[in-house]
Amino acid sequence: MRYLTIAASAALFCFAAAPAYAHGVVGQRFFPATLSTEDPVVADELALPTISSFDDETEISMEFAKRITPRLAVSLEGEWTSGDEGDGFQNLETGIKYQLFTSADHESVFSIGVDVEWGGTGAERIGAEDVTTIAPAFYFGKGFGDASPDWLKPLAVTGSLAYAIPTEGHAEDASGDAEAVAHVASYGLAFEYSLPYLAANVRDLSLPDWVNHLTPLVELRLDQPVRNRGEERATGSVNPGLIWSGRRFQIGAEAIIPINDASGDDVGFVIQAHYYLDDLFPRSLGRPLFGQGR
Amino acid sequence: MRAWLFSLAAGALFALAGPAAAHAMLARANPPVGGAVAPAPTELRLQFDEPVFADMCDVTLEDAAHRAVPLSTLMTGEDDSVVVAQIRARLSPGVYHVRWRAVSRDAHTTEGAYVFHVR
Repeated sequence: MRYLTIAASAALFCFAAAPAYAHGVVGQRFFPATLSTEDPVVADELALPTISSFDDETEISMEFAKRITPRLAVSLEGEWTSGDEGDGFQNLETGIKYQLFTSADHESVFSIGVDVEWGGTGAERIGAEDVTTIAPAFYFGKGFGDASPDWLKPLAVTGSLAYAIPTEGHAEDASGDAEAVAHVASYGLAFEYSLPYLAANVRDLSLPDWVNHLTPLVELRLDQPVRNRGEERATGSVNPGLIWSGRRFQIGAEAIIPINDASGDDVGFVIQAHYYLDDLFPRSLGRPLFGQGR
Repeated sequence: MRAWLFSLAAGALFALAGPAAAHAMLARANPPVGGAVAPAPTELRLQFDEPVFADMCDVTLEDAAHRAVPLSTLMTGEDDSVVVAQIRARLSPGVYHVRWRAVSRDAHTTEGAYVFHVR
């Protein structure tokens, strides 16, 4: 009975009518979907394709996210990899994210979630492990619209922290040998300077319309093995790039600059097309299954 | 190769999906966002990047001391993406704050604010 009450309370909490801000709109701020780190906003969205080339490896991936309620979304991600070790799919990933706190006045958002990489669903020959990994995470976003001086107002920062916990301590590699599977802390940060925000809320510099849709950004990624790490070292990258955001979709491109030799030898790139399903299909696929979106 | 083709085909499908509407974002304003104008303007003109329902939109104008300046009822401008309000007071030199809330044709709501100066 106690569990039933807790479950009912949790359901009510999730389904309660609350302001929901589609595809990254929080007050006057629009947070575009970032390419290399997870953004904090719950939305109906499709990233297809995301193509990256880095260290002689090409990856093509898609991610679909669907709002269950205005604040709760689930996601599904698949990735195909081609490299020296062959071609194949990586493990399937699913996620759930809940937008816990939203302040339109302060252009702030805070979310929590859990991502699961399902072991054994991908091809071992390209390194997909047979161990499932569960990663609790939190995400934040903050726009500086309430800052002074004016030139700082278009700036926004988003970030994430996840801790990946494997369900087993060891996995078999492609040759059948056991190898340790580490607990990994993943950090992500994105610094965005929104020209749409500049033009609409701070100063219209009479720039060409296409320029007013650009958001230059720098993303930082760091994966730090924490426990059971064996020989594994921290890896990460600094990704400077640009996002052009339109009414129904955005496109983005970033360079991938490794932070150390364990992360890679050469500079790579990532490009992405990302669709706002709430604007493409406002009366069907783009609505939360329960509750009122806006 | 098949994965690339699939990605491109799916991308094209979504790019062409319709009919659809989107969140209305402010594209241009007169007086301009952050701009300085003289003589004092007699109307506010907000151009969005999407058609909006003028009768469901809201625009307010305040002076530097945040006293409300009276405006007329919002009207649709030269097309459905433009809303216009007449300023029913003579604006003296200073800073003015505009706040807007727009409702696009798919009922998505957006909001924003900016200032302009009267020289």
